[in-house]
Amino acid sequence: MKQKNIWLRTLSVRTEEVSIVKKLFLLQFFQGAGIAFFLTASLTLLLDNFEITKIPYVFIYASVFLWIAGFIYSKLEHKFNLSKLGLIITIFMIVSILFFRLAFVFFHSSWFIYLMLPWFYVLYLLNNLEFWGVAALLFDARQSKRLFGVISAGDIPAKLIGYSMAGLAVHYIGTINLLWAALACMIASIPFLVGIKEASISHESHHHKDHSHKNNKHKKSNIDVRRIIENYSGNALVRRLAALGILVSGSFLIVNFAFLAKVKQAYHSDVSLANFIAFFNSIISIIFLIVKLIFTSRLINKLGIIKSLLITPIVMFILISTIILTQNYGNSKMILYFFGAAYTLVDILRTSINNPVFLTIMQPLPNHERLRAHMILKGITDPFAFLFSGIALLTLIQLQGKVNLVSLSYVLLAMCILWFIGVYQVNIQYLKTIVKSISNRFFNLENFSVKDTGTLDWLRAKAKTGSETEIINILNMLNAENDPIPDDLIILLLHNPSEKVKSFVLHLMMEKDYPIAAKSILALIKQDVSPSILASSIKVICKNNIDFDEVKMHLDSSNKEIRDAALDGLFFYATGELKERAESIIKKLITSESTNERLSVAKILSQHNNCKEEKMILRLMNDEVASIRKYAFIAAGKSGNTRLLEALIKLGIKYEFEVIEPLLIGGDFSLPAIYSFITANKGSILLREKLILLIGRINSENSHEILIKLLNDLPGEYPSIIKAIYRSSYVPKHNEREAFITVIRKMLTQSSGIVYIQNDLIHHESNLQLLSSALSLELDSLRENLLLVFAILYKRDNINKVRKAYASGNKSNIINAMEILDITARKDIAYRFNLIFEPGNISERLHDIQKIYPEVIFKNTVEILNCILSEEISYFNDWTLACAIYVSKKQNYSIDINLLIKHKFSENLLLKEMAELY
Amino acid sequence: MSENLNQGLLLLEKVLLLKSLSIFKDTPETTLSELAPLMQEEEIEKDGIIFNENDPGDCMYIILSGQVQIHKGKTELATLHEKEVFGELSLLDAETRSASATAKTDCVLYKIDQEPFYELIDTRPEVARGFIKILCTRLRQLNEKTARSN
Repeated sequence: MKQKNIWLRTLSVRTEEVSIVKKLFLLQFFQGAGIAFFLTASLTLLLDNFEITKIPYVFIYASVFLWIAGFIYSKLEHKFNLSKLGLIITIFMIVSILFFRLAFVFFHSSWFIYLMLPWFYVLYLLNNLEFWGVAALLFDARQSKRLFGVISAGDIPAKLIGYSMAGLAVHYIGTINLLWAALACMIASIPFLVGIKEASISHESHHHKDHSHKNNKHKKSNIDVRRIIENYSGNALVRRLAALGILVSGSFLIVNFAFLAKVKQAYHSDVSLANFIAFFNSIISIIFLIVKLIFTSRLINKLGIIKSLLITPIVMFILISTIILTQNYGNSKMILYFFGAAYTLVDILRTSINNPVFLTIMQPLPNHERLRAHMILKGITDPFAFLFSGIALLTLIQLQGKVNLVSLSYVLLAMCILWFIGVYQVNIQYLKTIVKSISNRFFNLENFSVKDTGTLDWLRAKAKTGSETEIINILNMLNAENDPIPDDLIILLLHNPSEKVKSFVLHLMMEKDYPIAAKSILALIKQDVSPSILASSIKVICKNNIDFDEVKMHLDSSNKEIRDAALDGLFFYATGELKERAESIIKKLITSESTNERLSVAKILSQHNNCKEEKMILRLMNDEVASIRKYAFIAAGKSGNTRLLEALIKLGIKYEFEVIEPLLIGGDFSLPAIYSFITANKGSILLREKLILLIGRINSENSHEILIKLLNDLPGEYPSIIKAIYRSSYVPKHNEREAFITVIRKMLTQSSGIVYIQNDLIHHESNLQLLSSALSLELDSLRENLLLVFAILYKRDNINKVRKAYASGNKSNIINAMEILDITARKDIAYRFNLIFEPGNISERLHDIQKIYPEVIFKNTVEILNCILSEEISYFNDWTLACAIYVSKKQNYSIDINLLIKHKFSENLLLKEMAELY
Repeated sequence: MSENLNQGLLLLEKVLLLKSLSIFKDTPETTLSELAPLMQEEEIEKDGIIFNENDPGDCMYIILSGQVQIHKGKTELATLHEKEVFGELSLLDAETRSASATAKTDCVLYKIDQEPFYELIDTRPEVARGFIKILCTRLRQLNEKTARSN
């Protein structure tokens, strides 16, 4: 059992995937062996019977055959479900192999030998379409990354055995009879295909739903070649992948041709040719097997998409450059060896790394698009590659009159460079696609801004004639611009019949200076205006020092609103006797028994920034009436006075959330008081949490500095601090990033600790579901906080998509999200995060987690409970702690009672109640 | 455990009770633990009136044990059992009760009043968010039901 697990881990296969992976592996094994026998026979017979210069024609014929095969496949794909189609394809392959074998009996001409190699490519294509089509439907993007290397390796031992057997058998049965072996292998693959059919039923029903809809819509166009081209051009990712695919296959075909030219020179009988081809391909298969089984999935996981795709062109570039550099010194044999090496490596890397990576890149596409992309890649790019390389080779041979390998090397070098560019282009599109695939329901509105003079003039004209709401909206818009609203427009609107418009204009005049327009207010107050307009006008007159005497008489107004406006204006803007008079009235009001009078003063004081009336504000801050306190608190916030702000935060202990908004108004001035309050552990947990978030809302450089400081000072408050930083516009400086990485590491370690506890809970007890779900909530919360830190450090939009995907709980969204994280965040961190938070069975992931985080071993449930209550490995929510106590009490676990002492004084009633049970 | 202690439910058990209700099944326990202290136990004898039709609604009820009959006059509309909830919308608005509720057997109910609930959502927006989520889910279900019936 253990042995089996080691194998599964080595191959990155999870228990629930074993059955389907085995079937896919064996399917690929038998079909791969059949194709190996067929290739050995067809290539040997071709090289033995025809000149090497005929090979480019083989490529061109192959392109035509592949076009037709791909086209028919695309047609059948819409008519049959994938497993049925797989069966049809397999039977077709069997019949075609039988046909070629029987052709040797019934025909005496060698024309069909010429068709065998192109037909090999058709068999190879059909096998690929069938196999990868099913595999892509069965697995998601992350499974693909892990498993495609393993399942596609099925054809390697098959090829190894096929080629080795072919090499041995050819001596006894001859080249032609290798086709019988090919036939037998193909027939042997059928039972596994039937087995896969059952596993793929659920995936297919979804797939068919997609297609049945599409089918009706495009029934006719599916058989149209133009439609395939349209499909190709419809998706940028598929387009770029296809272009890269053509380049990759084309390069391989040219290397292949060069190598075959040398082989043809070296071997002259069909048996020796078959022997060499079989031997050479066996060697390639062995290397293949090692690379695919051991390195492919790990390499893709470690390197990521772009680096994995670059391996093949880099290797090819080095080899071809070496051929060019050594052409003057090396002999023909050396060039043969180099081409042999190039052929081997390009073939191995192309199949073991490029193809699985291509498949992985397609995973973010929706099911039907993924299948279409697959069909396009295999059905269109390969024929194009054959066609282009065939034509290119024919042209070169025609121009030079012979096969010149050095010229071919230069062509290949140029293709390598295009390859690099292609990989870069594919990567860009892949990132866009993956982001789009989980975010197509969201979009951002751009801020609206009016800048051009034409529009501004139109708005001003409209403000004169528009409706009440239109005018106010236009004024709002104009006010948001840097330039002030023209005075003539303000004056005009002050006389607008609408009370609302007048009031709004006066409000704007209090906000910004309009000295010319302000003078016209004297005329306005002499008209019959409402008390509200009069009060606002008085304030504007005072603010602009226009005529205090005109205001003075309103101090005795019977209307409170008008009197308060006069008091406000004269107290804050007048000087001398008028100011003193206003002050003495305010002092009387502040000590008044009447709540309304005290409230008036509080309101007046709250309307001015930098108010110096410390004593008055302080007195009102301690008023017993909440509404008076509210305005006094605002006045304290606006004052920027350190003593008042300190007094304000102290009142937070008593009045809790009433102080939050005033402290926000205080902005940077509030920060020292808030910092001291939080670090001194004053107030309730909830208040401290709100204050931390408030620092983020202040959102200044100073507030950012304080938050970073708190991150070091108060590790227990991580969640709130991280949330506050995330909500602010803070962008970490280079030297600050490490602090966040440290936080991430700590949180990942905590998360791994919780995963260990969860795993142990599963093994120790089955009836601790309550604790287990509490720990799941802890993990959710840690995951969310980690993502917030990622959003601070990396591309916020991408990380928010990851957060939304996790919040949706949809597995395929989460899988795509993990891919985004892989691309967006630092590789090692993203890897660890994905390892811990990947959906699915914990114990399956544990082995990989243990490699990074030392395992926390618990002997029994009591140790687990003590570990949670001591908060050794992580800070826990009160809910989790309460659950741990509840479980221990209910099931009589002898936990360490000392650990409960601090919880007996907890602010959280629930936790306190639980602790007090002991 | 609460039985052993010869008391009502512990706060934690109240959270578990809330979590077991269909309306709170997707609400995290951390949020429900804010709601639990607001639950007040009420014992109603058989045939006892819980509220009458047209009474102002200002609380919701959770049945811990027993059965409650919802009726309009003498016409029975439903019989509710353990771990069922009624009057939940009254936590959010002050509309009058659309039907009467009477204890069909001896009942133990938990009541959550509107006012402390409002106070809670003032300081704990996540509780409000949880409720909004519940209402949205119900609205969606209703929309789907209407669409299907059309």
